[in-house]
Amino acid sequence: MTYVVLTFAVLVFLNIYCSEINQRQFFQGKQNTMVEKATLIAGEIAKADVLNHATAINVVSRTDIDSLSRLIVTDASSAIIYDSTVEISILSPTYALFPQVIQALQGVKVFTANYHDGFITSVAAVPIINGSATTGCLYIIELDGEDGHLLQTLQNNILTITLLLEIGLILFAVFYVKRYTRRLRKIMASMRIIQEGDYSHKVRLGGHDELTILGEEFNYLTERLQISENKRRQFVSDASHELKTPLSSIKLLSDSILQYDMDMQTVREFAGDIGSEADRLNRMTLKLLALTKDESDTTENELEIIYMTPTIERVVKMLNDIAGANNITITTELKNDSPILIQEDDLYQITFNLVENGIKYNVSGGTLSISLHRQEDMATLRISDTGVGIPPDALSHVFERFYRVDKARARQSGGSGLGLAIVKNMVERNNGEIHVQSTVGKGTTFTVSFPCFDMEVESDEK
Amino acid sequence: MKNKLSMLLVLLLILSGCSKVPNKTVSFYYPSAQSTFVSTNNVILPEQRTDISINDDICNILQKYLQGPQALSFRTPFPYNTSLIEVQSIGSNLLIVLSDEFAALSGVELIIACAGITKTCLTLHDAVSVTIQTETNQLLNGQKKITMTADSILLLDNSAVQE
Repeated sequence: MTYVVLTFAVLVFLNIYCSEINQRQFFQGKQNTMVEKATLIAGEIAKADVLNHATAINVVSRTDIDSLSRLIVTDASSAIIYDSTVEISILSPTYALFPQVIQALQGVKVFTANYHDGFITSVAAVPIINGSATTGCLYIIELDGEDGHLLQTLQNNILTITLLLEIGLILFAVFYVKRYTRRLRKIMASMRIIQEGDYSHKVRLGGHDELTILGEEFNYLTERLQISENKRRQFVSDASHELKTPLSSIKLLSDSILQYDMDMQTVREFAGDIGSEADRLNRMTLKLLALTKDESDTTENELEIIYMTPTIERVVKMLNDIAGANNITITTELKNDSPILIQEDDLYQITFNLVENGIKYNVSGGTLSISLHRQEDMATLRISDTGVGIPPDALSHVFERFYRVDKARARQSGGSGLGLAIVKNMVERNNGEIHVQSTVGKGTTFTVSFPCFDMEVESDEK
Repeated sequence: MKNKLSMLLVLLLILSGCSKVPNKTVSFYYPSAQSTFVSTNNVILPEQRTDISINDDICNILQKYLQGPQALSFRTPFPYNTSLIEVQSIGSNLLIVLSDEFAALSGVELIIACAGITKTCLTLHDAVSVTIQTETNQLLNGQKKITMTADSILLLDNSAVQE
């Protein structure tokens, strides 16, 4: 509607402007012609010795005044000496007190014109000057129907074109708006479907404009929503399943204690099992919470530029006993350390989880090596074990939540399938990358890289 | 109640509008105060005066007329101190005798002033023509007197009539 009103206003303005310009040009032409003619006649009259009726007739008879409606010659007091529309004999002192005559008697050449109903009425009045004195006035008036008709035709044509243009614009606007709103309504309908949970719905819009791009972006968004929703459902399903298992075990064991008569040793054994399952449940819950916290905590609090060596050494110290108990040797090569920007707690958790996995999935008598490297601007932490390895088809899934290559072994060792998911989350949150390489029967290597921050670090950190 | 009062008021207004209002305005013809005349239709225009009664003596009315216009859109065409000496009705002609100051006018300004006097007098009197002269017969545009009728004053050109 605004568009229509605006274009209409512009067209009306152009119409009026064009009409005015045409009219002005017509009048300009008329002015030149009329004033020139009047000046010519006045000049001839002025040449006479005496300004009277006879002089005026003499000059006028030699002049073509057929196109004029009236010609009047007055004296200096506006008394009419000659009037082309009145017979000479009936002339009495008649005074032409027309505004144009008064103006001309003051020495000014005057032209006025107006256009009405297809006729141009033009008036010119010029002084008759003899020597330096104004002795009279020549007044002429013309009613031009031919030029007036031309002007009217021109204005009518402009008006017609304006109206046709406006009608065309309105039709175009109606058509375009209908088409545009139809496509917008399609998108809105799709949004309502998405709101109701059908993320698989796609909006199909033709064309190659911004709405098409909007449609494509909308479809991409719904795809991501679908993936997100699938992941959420999978996670809830997995989490429920994982949590259900230890709970079922606890229930079974406690029911057994209550239902059957058992000796104290068996009861203690069952109680121990309940405790183990409870611990497993607790660990899983803590890891789930940690994962949730990682996803929701997007701030960059407590980031610091540190070397990795002190943190790695703390982890090794913590897990050395467990490694020793499993007859696994931990070796470290930490000379090529570089400063990185990271949350120290995250680095500890990452290292802890990877080293712990390296111990859990190692063989007795195996080794676990931890080394630091620098490649251009990246600081790399490499943790390699001589464990059972990961099958090639499982490599792409190891970082998924609850994924375990060997479920039986993982359960035995208390694994929940969340450790590597947590590690990947933390690495990526600290702008790092993690990769895994493995050969079944030979071992697995985890490579974690972070961008270097070559700034001054506190000396006690090193 | 309100509706009835409104109806009564409207009725009173209509009735008061229908009553014949006595015509007390007098028209004095003066030239326009604008320096250029082209933009106006007429060189001489009527000023409606309500401070004068049309039933007053014509001498008193003309004395008032010679004092000049009240509205700023008009100007007085008369020289300073121009006064009315005499008014005589001779048949269908009205003779206006003015003081000699009037003779200071000449050319088209004199004609404009005379045209104003003529048109004013013709609305006040049933005369057909008006003759203007000065007290001591001073020359007015080379003549001792100037006589005008309604037809001798052309204020508008109606010759260009569309057929």
